[in-house]
Amino acid sequence: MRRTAFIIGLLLGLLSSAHAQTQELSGGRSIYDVQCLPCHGNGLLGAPRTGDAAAWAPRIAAGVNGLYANAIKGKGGMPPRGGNAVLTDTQVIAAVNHMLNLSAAKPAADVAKTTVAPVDAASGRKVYQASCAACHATGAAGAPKLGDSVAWTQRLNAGAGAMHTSALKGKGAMPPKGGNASLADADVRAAVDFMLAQARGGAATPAAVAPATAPATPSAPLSADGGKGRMVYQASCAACHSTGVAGAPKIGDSAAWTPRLKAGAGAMQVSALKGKGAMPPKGGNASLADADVRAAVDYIISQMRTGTAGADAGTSVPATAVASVTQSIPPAPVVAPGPAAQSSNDPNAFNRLMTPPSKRNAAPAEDGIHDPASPGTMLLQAPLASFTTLPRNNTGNYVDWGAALSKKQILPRWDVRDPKADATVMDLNIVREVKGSMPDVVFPHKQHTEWLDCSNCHPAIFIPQKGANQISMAAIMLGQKCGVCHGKVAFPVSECRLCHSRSKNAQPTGEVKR
Amino acid sequence: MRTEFRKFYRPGVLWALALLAAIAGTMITTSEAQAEYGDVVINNHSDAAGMRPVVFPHWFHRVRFRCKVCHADLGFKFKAGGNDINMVKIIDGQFCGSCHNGKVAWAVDSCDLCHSGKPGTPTQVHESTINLLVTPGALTPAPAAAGKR
Repeated sequence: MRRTAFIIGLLLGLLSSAHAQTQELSGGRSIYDVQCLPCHGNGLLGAPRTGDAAAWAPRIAAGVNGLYANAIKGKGGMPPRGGNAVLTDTQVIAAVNHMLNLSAAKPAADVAKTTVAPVDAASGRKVYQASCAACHATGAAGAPKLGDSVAWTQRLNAGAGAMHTSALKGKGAMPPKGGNASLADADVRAAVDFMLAQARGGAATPAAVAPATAPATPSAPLSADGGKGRMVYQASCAACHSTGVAGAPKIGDSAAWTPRLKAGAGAMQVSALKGKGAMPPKGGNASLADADVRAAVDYIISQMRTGTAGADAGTSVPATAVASVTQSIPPAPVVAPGPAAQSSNDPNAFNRLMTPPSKRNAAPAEDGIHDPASPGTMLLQAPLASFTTLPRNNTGNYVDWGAALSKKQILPRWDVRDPKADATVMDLNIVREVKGSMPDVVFPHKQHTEWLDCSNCHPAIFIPQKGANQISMAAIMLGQKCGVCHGKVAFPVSECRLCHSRSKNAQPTGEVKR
Repeated sequence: MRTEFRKFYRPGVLWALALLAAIAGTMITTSEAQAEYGDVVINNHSDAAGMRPVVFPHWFHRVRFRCKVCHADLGFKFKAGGNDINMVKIIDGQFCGSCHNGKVAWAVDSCDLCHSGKPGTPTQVHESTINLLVTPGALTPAPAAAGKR
């Protein structure tokens, strides 16, 4: 009973957060101002001018759906999504609607209903989400952020009445009624009151902070192995499909995928390429090649099949739940109870102790350490989104960090403030003659001083004196000596020959023996 | 014949069953978490304070900074959970707060971006060699705690 209550609570939580997110981002006016206005405001590159009813009339006569499609896919001098691939379909459509409204040409009434959130007079929260969140959720254009009590307290000193007036008449960068002139005055006041309540209650909504992106690296083509689909999936699909946000069918949930697969894998690839429902074309990453998107779809299908083989009946979602999801607008998220089948449980796997390629570099929501129920987990960068261009190896992060640094594929700072500071590299090899038949260890100061300061190791971990350090593999595996890093963040002890690298018969070449 | 069978093979069968059970147990616990090598879970105060534990991704930070920046300049010891970090110190600009101040990286108001771990996960360096040596299951969230939030 408690478990049922928990699942229902989780479902409701996901529902409301996903709903809030789509609405917060869909402010047509703010998107129009940033993405569309530069050309459509001045008629650049042949763009029909906003407000030019004569130019718009024939286009609207041809059907607004065609206009939406052109805005999403691009046409003539217009790039897809006005050049901002991050925008979702809903956002682009909202911007088009705004432009059509300004052009005194009304889009078809039914379309307007589905894209512009209907105003519920009772709820300040709804008005906030439809008309205020585009700026106040993120602090765009100097807007005080929702829940930022410091920013709001200063304004509140003037009194709530003054704030109502500012919201109704506009202030600074803020247009009257947040740009939605169709709002009743009472609705605007309700939205202001909602924001004030949030400010008094402290930060209630998590700030939508996207993690800083990796230093720009040339996007090398992905290696054409079977893991490509998985890499694309993790970088561009997992944010929704790993948890079922915004109605996305969850990976491995065979009950959710089976009805979709009936239309054929080809149809699914087309949906992925062109977008469907809440899903933007190519999962919102327009830079993906079509082949990559298809590979990701194939990967998702392959996961569904392994899921079917391994899962028992109790873990699948009832077919009725799937049907209700496909019908509802906006799509409601679906939470599949029970874990998806793990392919690593396959008793015939080659090596059950070795992480199979399909389990490496899991996205945060799937990695077993991050809480998929946390709103922050969705915003974190997936490792593969950063690793695809880096040299790979067989252990640890499956990234050859040393090579990535020496080839300048990553440019980690040496000083937290000064981007120009660089390491003082010391090129001195230390040879340790070891017992038994293992090759001797060559310790290269060079690779270590590229990352570390002398004081990191000397004298606390290693006394800088010949013969003063007792080192054993047991100590290393217990996290001492080399094991302070090797086996935690640097390559682990399974890579014997990276340290034990010099044959006992080799002639000394000016190295220091310890 | 029958007595001989009992005498020699029955303990063997028992041992085999015990071994199978042990292997199955290990497989179940190790297949739970597949996070990045070097991801540090810090749960010094989080669980007690009703927050999710912090997950620190080493990989994300080493793409941007050399080890020396945090481990020499900012004073992070080479020990998971060994730095006694708390929010007061972070807001004061120490440890994480050197960058997580809203200027270099997100500020402390983005709680969920750092406090993103599964409730009840103990402090550890995930996938570390030492994790493989400790009791299986000791490093995954306790079932009771995991269901709380």
